[in-house]
Amino acid sequence: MGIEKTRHFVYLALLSAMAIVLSIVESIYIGPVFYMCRLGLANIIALITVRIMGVREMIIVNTMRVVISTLMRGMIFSSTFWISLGGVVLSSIALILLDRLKSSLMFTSVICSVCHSVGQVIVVCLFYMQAGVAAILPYLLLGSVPMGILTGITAQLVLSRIKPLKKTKI
Amino acid sequence: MKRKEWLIIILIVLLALGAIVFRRITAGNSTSAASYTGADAPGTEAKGEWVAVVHHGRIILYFDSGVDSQYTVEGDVGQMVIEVKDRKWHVLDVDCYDYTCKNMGWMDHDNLLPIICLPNDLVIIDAAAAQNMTEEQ
Repeated sequence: MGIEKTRHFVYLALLSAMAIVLSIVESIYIGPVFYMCRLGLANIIALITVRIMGVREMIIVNTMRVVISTLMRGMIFSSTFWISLGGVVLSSIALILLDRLKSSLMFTSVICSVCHSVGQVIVVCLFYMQAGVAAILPYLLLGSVPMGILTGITAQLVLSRIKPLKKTKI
Repeated sequence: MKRKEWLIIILIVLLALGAIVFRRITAGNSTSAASYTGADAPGTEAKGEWVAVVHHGRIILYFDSGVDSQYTVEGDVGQMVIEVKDRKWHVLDVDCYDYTCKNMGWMDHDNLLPIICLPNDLVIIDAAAAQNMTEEQ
């Protein structure tokens, strides 16, 4: 039980670290690919975590990613933080629901990407208190579909190479 | 992927495309109807199209996309420099930590996409849409 618990924490720490690094690298070096659409590389880690470890671990990894990556970039509790959090919360809810419904990885990835964009736009609209900013949503949705497929393919390639972890109760 | 899943993805794409087409049609109608002769709007005919900069829900600048120039506006974090060239506009420089607005690149009247700088609370948007936005508040 002891070694299982340690292994569980090590995997959780590694996945969180990978998500944080991907998030920072993407925001600093890659930037938006299509207008405001980003690749969403950190979503690959969320997909992998939910498949190999479970829903609770995915929520921990996503929360750590948002909090630590914005903290490291000096943006904690700034508008960027809240927008990021809005996207992550909605995409995590979608991920949990689709995991329960046993949807395919690719479909889960696309819907998470779409929900991430919708969550971000909702937060932006709340920040500005005006619906006009939502004009950007159709463009984001169009960009989210290919980005979701891309992250889904990557997650599938990774999952075919690693063994699922035995879920342990901590 | 299952057939049902593909259908949902296609539906999302079609909805997004429909929303873009609908917005282009309605924006085209509202631009032609707007005269821009209000107290705080430019009263002259634009060489290109009138574009507005909105800060905290208030229009702080109008510029003509047909006139090549550079404009500096003040946001919450610092200054934003907007460059207008060949009926297109983009953020040349901005004092903030995100640079999403700068990375969005050149915009023109055809793509109707607002340039948003959240740290500075600045939106560069078509003048008719900006007037609608400020009237809604």
